[in-house]
Amino acid sequence: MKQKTNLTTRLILAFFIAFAVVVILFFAPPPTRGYYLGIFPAEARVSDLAPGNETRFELTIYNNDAVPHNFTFSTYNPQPEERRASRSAFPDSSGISFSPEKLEIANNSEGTTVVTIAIPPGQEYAGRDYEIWLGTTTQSAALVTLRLYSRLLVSTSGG
Amino acid sequence: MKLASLVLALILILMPFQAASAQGSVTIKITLHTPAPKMLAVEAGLTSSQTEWNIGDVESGEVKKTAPEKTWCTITNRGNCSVNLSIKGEDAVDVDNPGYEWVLSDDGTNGKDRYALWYWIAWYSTDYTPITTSERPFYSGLEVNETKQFGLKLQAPAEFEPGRSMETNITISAVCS
Repeated sequence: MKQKTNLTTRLILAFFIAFAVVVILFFAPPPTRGYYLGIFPAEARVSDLAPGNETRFELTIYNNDAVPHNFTFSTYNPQPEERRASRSAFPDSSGISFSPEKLEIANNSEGTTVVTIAIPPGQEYAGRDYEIWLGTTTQSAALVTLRLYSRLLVSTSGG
Repeated sequence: MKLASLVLALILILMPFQAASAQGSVTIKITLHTPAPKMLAVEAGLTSSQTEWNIGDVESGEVKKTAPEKTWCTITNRGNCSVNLSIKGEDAVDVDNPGYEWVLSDDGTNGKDRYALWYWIAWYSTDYTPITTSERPFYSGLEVNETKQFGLKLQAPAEFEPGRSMETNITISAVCS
């Protein structure tokens, strides 16, 4: 009689364990195949750059994906409401250049591009606070492409 | 000899004072707290083993949705700053003949060789939002380690040349808010 009770208890326990496993599998998120990219700095500040002068800094790109990625660089003039307070649009986006302009980064590696910022000559560019975004884009065959923007905040001297 | 013993004794007497003096010194460490440099990192993952959305054959005006419908793609903030996201699409191109395109609609309506694309953010959107060829806000203030999931809906052109393989791409942009 006692053996029969034990068997029943075990069967009920086994049923609940199987039920719990089914419930967990049903509600668990499906496996995700993702890729993970980063840039540093995400916000770069340049101060006291005189009109007619230029400066440089390194932008680092992190590829934390399992496969290599090709990256391209671009500039983007954000809308006024997207800029930091009291910043105006960068006067001439052709004054921003990247070297190299394209970069292949191996899986789980990082690479750098040198960003050169040049302010046009002229007193009208003195004593101003500008903002422009530097875009790093993956050249991916996947449907979803990622573009990461670094905010470049440039203040000019004089004025 | 007596003088040497006296000097040695004096040194032995003074040593503890020197040690005590050393023990009593205080090093003041000043730590200046400045904001941590911002690192922007974003993870995009599709909820399947594929990196594409293979729609298959479509009829004129037919509507297709991703599967899972609203959690097909996951975006995660892996950096150290809150992030604003935007989204843009592009015209679909015939992979075998890039001269033939479907223009992406800018208002969610289809037409001749014009297709429409929308997104729905899970547990956030109340309706499908059109994706256009210009960058438009997608989600603002994605906190560190926070995740958002979304799905896509596509409507084929009302009229198009059959027998073509069309391909398109969407871009998710991120900037520290």
